[in-house]
Amino acid sequence: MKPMDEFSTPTPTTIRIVRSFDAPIALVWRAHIEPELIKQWMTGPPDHSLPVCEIDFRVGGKARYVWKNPQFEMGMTAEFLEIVENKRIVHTEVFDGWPEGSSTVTTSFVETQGRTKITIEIEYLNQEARDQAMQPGFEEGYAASYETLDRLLANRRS
Amino acid sequence: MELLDRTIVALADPTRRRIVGRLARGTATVSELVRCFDLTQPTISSHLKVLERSGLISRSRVAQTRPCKLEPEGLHALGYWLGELRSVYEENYARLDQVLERLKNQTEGPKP
Repeated sequence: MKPMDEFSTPTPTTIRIVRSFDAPIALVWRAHIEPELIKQWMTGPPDHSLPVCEIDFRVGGKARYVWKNPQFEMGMTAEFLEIVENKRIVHTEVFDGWPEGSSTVTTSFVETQGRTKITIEIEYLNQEARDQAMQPGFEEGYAASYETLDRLLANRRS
Repeated sequence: MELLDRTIVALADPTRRRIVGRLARGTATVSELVRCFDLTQPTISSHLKVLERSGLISRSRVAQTRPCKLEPEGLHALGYWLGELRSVYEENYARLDQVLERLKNQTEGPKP
């Protein structure tokens, strides 16, 4: 399987994912916004499908996804906050029954010589909580705990 | 609520993350944490309860004090969750590679 360029936790509340695709930006963009295409790849864990993918692709518009396997069903509602065509999508994600885990996701698209790199930043807290989190001393104190996570991730996926 | 959910909820609060950050450098008593964060003892205690229920910290009893200690297992659960998330993205993107190949063939191929 093609490796990701990056999977990291740049801040204690952010996950950053970077992945390159051998396709021009227009196609990668379409694959992220057209339900019939999304249903073919965003199916999640093994044995799951994405039977529901409804997207109202405009700022303020919502999207609804439901993943299913024989035992299990999980839904997620998204809302688009910002859309810059072929460049950036910012949306919120709330999984059913897990409001505490709601996140803001920024997906950026960059094309270089026919290849497209996407960067996804999943931010797990709202701005107010982030501002509080970034008080002096916080990052230093938290670095130690996150080094543990980095090691775990490196071990698991190396 | 699953233990992992409790871990994530526990870490969703900035004060609790700072407490975890402090405990990553070594055990501390409630009164040490009160001084460290300039919060009241009841506030610190309520945060410690949440952290203890999530499995992120444990508290022993030494004379009149209850030193708090970080429990790596709680963070392991979070690491496992991140690992699962990573797998999902890797598998999704492997499928997206195939979708893009098909789209490229459609757009490059002869027009109907």
